[in-house]
Amino acid sequence: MSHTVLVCDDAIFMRTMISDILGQAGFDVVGEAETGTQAVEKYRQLKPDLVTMDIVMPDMGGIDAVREIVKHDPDAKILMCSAMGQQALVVEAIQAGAKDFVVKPFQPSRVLEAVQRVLG
Amino acid sequence: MDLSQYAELFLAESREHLSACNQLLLEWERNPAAAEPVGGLFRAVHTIKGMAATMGYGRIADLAHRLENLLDNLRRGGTAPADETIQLLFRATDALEKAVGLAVAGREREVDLAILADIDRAAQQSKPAPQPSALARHFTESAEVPEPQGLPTALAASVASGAGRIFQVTIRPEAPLKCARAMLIVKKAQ
Repeated sequence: MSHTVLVCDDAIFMRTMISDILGQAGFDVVGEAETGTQAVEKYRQLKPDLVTMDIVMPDMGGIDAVREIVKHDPDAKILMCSAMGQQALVVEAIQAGAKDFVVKPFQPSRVLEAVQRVLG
Repeated sequence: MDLSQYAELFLAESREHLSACNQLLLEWERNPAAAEPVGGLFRAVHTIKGMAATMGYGRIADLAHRLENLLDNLRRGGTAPADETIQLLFRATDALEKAVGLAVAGREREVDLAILADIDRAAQQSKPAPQPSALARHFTESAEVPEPQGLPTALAASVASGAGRIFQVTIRPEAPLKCARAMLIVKKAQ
């Protein structure tokens, strides 16, 4: 059975591209969230094998969403999607429990490598 | 990966964010003491930066990045912006809108970046007093590769007695965010 994924990003553009990259590699994107609050809710509903998490989102940001999800499920596998220049935020996300990170602009091969590390 | 299939989506979503920027700027102009507009502006410009970089539009990503720096300073500074700053932000939003249109039409080279000097100057002037980040206390990043050094005596002794292990880790020079990568490695080793 293929791994299930929840894709969290406030931009439809980014969600579409990440979903395409993962979908084409055989993953099953079961849900999308555009705010941190939605991410936490959908994680509880869907129990995905993997979450991709943007850092800057309206409402609740990605780092707080990681904290909430990990509180609920310490084994959650969360991959941060960051932009250049966000090192301090990525470190904070890792401290909060994120398992790995990729940096925009995304190269499909790098995204898939990171996903394998997180799931492996 | 064929990026052209995402160009329309990029254009539509960028325009949506730019129109939100104009709304937020009008709101900020009416009420410069309000704290919300700058947060919304920062997020919108940040999103455009990420999308543009992904599309390979380097000039737009650069413009958005420098604008994001200015907005971040204004956000952290927390003081009401001068009218001059608001007008600059309106002009920067226009410049970004033009740049987005040109890039999607395959004419990114024509993007006019003259406004960058003004943006950088405003960013410099609005820079809040520096505070040592939590990150800086943990790690320092150096351009030079340090010479391998002998192990401290206590560590060497614990390794010799079998109580410890040594990992040698190499991070590729081109790897982004090396401190964050180092932190993951330390976490994994524990």
